[in-house]
Amino acid sequence: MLRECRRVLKKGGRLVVVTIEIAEGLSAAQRGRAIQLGPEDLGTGGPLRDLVAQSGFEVVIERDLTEDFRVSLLDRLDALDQNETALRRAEGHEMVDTEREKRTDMLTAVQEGMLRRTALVGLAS
Amino acid sequence: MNDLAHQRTTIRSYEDRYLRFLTKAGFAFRSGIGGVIPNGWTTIEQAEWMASVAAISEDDLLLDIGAGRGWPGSLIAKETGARLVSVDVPLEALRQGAEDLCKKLGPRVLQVCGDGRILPIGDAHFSAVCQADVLC
Repeated sequence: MLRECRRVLKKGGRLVVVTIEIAEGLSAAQRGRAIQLGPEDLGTGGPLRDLVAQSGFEVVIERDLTEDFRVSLLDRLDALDQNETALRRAEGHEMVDTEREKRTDMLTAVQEGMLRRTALVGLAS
Repeated sequence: MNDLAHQRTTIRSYEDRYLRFLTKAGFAFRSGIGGVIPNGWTTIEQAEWMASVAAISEDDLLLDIGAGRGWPGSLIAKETGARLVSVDVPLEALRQGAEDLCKKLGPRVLQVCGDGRILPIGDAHFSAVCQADVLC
């Protein structure tokens, strides 16, 4: 997908990408746990910075958004708590339970340092 | 499972994400967290930052890949004045976002049903490309 981004960009154009990724420096077991707890389509190809650089971009800005992501996960779980009764009635128990489980898993992975959210700007070279 | 079957299952799973929390209670839940459900994590502050670093203006064309209902591309286009092409696979997401995108950007936005891995677009067409949580 990043190569497609480069193809459709003019030279000097900018790629602005934000994504959840596996933290660097983890053991194989930790990576496995990050994949298990992370989003369904979590990328496993390597650090975003490297993938972007390998796709024809010069990385000019990198920003760590992990703390914002942790707060967003807490907000989402809080909103789930506040609306739980009505949500269970309207959306069903399975929907609510699945949502809670997924977000709790992701929060665990973030708190254990296995997932991070990264923003990056690449210049089409 | 062969490639085509896998692709169909994946598309159905993406469509399903946009069919959750559409009830009144679901809307209240989504509103409580900025309306970003089901799979977006980009806050307004982050989208504003994306606009500030995209280095585009009203003469430019911005591509938002995996745009869903149109976030965060809509804010970046609004802030910068750029024209926006908003691309994603689930038709349900495009349908849900259409009215809001038109309201915010009028004729400056085009929604395209397409896969970011094989874009139906010519080379060197855009001044900037944004994507949020597509690679995860």
